[in-house]
Amino acid sequence: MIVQKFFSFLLKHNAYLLLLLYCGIALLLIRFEQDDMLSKIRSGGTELQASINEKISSYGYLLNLRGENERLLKINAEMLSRTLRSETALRNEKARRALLADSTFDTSGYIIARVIDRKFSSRENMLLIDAGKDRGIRPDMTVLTPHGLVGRVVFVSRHYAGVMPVIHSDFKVSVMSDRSSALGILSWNGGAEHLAQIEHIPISSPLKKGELMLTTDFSTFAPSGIPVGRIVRIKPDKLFYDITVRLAVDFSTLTHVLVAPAKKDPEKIEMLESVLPQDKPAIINPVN
Amino acid sequence: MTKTLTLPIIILLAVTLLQVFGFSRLTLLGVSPDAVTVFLAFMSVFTGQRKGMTFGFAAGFLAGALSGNMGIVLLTRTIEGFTAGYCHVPENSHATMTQKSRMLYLGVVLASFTGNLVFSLAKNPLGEPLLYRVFVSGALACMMNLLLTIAIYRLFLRKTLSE
Repeated sequence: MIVQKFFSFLLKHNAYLLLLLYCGIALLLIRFEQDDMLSKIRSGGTELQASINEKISSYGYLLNLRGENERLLKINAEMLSRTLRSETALRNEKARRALLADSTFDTSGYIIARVIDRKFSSRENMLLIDAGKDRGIRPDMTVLTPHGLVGRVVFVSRHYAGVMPVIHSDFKVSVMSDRSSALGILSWNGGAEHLAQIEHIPISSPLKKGELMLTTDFSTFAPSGIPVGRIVRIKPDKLFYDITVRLAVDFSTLTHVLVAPAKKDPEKIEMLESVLPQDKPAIINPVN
Repeated sequence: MTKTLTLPIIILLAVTLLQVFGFSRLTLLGVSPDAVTVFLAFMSVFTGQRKGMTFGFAAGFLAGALSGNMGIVLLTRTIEGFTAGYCHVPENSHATMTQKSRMLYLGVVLASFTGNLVFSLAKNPLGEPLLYRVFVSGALACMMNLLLTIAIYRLFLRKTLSE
């Protein structure tokens, strides 16, 4: 009788039971998203998606080759001027000493990659680049252009990598002013694609509109000194400034990027992770 | 059984790929039309809630593997298939074409809104306020999917359903 009742219950509510089963599987997949097996599936999916996207975008790329060449020449000129400026700075003893003191940043081996896909919607906000494990790309590497910081590598497949851009609500990076050295945390709270916000700069800091914000040594992934943006609005709040920054990189025209070598400082990350409570690891990762 | 399922599975594969590589690029205020939702609503309305849900699960698996958010896409698609199933028109219902199309439109709107709601609660890559995501983006998603359904209905489905 009970068995009969059980089966009649199952038959009556089987749509709900099926829903429960599917939702249960989905929730398990969400819970074990970082699992090896799922990472492999994701990596394979990324590889497939990226290779198809690359083929699609290569047609447009061929059509715009002339404009692309002009743009690359412009980037070359900018990089040359940057190199010249860096060389001048290197002559300065203080700058040289500071650079040598930073043993965590290997300045050689920047990797040039092409942006082959960009999703900017309420469901996905990610860049895909055509460089992966094969070319030495690893998670947490910094992605930049001669103009400034683009984002951080978050997942890598054999030939491609996914980049979380600065304009992602989960992205945070430690920044400092080039003039006053005031330190804060840059994040993007949605809205305009070219504007971001800086928090935690006390109102006692001598900060002015137009100052350039650079990445700092505090970051666990980004080398210091990468331009992030310029202050366009500064408003004192109770304790801290409410700052808006115009980002150095124009994400709407981004086609090529550089990937900087990873910072070799696992000891620092380990120490940060051991100091903060184990149940809140998310605090460490985003505030980089 | 195998014969009746082969065509929907092929269509599902094609629609999912079309969505990932085509429609997801057509964004308006961060929202893009969703051909997979339309297909799931169609399956749920005309073949039943369980089939719609199972197709949603399969579509979620495929699209999730491609986008990297497998768990959440799986959950969203399954719930989309389930909610659209409330507008199910049984095969022997003697419903008119107008009634069938109305149920399909209603199923698409329901699936779009709940799908958007589930995704909004789980993920917020653009950092938008929750209410904005649920209501403004939700309404926009419903509108876009409804327009897509009307276009698909007029182009392909009207003849198929009348048969």
